[in-house]
Amino acid sequence: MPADEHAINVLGSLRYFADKDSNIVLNLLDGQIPRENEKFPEGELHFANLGWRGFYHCHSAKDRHHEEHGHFHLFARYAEKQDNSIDWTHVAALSIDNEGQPRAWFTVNQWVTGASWLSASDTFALLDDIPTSDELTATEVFLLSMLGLYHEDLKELLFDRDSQLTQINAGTSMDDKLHNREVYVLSSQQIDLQQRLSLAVSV
Amino acid sequence: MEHKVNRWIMGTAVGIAAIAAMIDHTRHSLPTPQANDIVVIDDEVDSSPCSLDVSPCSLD
Repeated sequence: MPADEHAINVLGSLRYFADKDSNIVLNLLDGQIPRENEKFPEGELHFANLGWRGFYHCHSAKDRHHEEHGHFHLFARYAEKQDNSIDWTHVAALSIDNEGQPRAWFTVNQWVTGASWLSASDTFALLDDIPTSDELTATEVFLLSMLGLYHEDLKELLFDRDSQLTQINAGTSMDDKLHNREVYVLSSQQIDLQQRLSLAVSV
Repeated sequence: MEHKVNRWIMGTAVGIAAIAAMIDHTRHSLPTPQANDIVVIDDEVDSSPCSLDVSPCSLD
C-alpha cells in the first residue's frame, strides 16, 4: 500500500477522533484516569488477530520524557526460521505528547519488553505488508497506518537501533548488551505529523 | 466500542489547512497519570517493564 493511502487512513482516524472531540489516547482511556504503568486498553490491542499487538501506558513522572504523556508499544508476530514456531517481536514505540499528539518514534533495548529480538532487517521486513481490515478499531487503524506512513523512517530507526546496540560496552556479548539495564532507548525520531500528511496527500 | 473507520477521502486531495484543522481538533489535554499506590516488590531480575501479557487469550 503506498504512503498516501496510509496517510488517508491516518486522516480518516483523525477525523473520527475529531468528530468525538477526542484523540487517540482519550479515545482509549474512555474517561478513565490512567495510573502509571497501567496498560490501555485492558487486555491490549489485538488488531483483529492480523499479526500485530500493542498497548498504551504511561511511565512514572521520573521515568518519562517531560514532553511525553505515554507511549504505544507495537509488536509484530513472526515465524521462527528454525522450527516455524510463532513468536512476537517489538517493532517500535510511538511517543504521545500531553495533548494526545504523536511526538516521536523510538526503539528500546530487548530487556525492556522481553520480546524476541530480530535484526533490523528482519524486523523491517515485517513492515512490508501492513494489514488492513474492516474489523480494526480507529485506534488500530491509526497505529497501523502510522507504521505505513513512516515506513522509511522506521527502517532508519531500526538500523540505528542495531548500530547503537553494537556500541554498548564494546567487547561484551550480544546477550549482555540486550540485557544492559542502563540502556533503555536505543534510537528515536521526532514526528511532525502535519508536515508528513501534507507531503503525502495535500493539493 | 469504537466504530470502523472507512477510507472516507480515498482518491481526493486534502488541503494543508484542512489537515492542520483536523489535527487541531484532536489536540486535547490528557489527564495526568496517577502515581500507582501499589508497591510491587520485584525480585525478578529479568523482569521487563513493557512486555506483552504472556498469554492474553489463554484459559485459566
